Amino acid sequence: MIERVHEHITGELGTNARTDTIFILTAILLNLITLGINSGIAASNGGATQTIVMFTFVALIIIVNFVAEIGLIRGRQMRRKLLNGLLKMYKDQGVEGYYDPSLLSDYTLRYNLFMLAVLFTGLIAIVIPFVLR
Amino acid sequence: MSIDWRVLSLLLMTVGLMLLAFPSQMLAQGDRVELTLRLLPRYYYIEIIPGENKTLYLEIENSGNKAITNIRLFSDKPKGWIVDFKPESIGHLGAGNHQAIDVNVVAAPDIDKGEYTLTLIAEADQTRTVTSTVLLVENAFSVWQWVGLGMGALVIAGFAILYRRFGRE
Repeated sequence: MIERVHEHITGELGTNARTDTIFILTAILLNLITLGINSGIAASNGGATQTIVMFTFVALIIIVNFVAEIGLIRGRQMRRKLLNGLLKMYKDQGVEGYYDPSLLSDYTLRYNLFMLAVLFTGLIAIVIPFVLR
Repeated sequence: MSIDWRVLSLLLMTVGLMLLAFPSQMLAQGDRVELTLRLLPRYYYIEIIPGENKTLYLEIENSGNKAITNIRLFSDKPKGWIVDFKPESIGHLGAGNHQAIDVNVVAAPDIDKGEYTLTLIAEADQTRTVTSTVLLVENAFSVWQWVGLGMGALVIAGFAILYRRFGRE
């Protein structure tokens, strides 16, 4: 049974990693595309319609980035819980020496960096077009 | 004295043809009134900072063959701009003469960045001439930049709230 639980935990970890990758890539890609579109709109000295389009894209950036940030925060918490369970399992089996617990804090740091990358590309995508306008 | 009518008619025909072909050269030169306004080439499409003074150098030339009197200088400028000429008027400009004019331009402090056309006009008793330049307003800290910065600040604040609220282990 313990082997099935182990498989389940590692499977969950894999799914978690894939979901987080999708969140990060989607947010960064959307931020960069929107940066291009809004910069183009801002440079064209457009009228009210273009301003509305620009603000719509800004709203999209804000929502997608907040969703991605919440997803990453939850992903980090989920990974920590799964790894804690895995560590406990290894301890019970007497093989805990093969898994360094400091990996947990490394994952936390990595998640924080991903969140910063998403946040800053989002900030640039919002601010730069308004500076160009 | 006998007139050779054939030679005379040939001569008249030649003169007539030349008049048709080159009227300006053939006609006696009358009074030509021509006033030219010229902005030095490097003052086209120049950058200007809102609220700061920029001096453009203009040259006015009487390129005709008759004196021009009472030349007044003024401009067609964007709203809120200040344009001053030094000198503001010229009483007399002889044929072939020219004079340098300083044009002090101050763009409105609250203007948006972009391209603006400034038209400079010289009007005399005898004629009128116009030239124009495009000025590029840069470094204007417009309301849009405040909007952008404000939204950036809101996003950072929102992120901090999210991180504190959802980040609890």
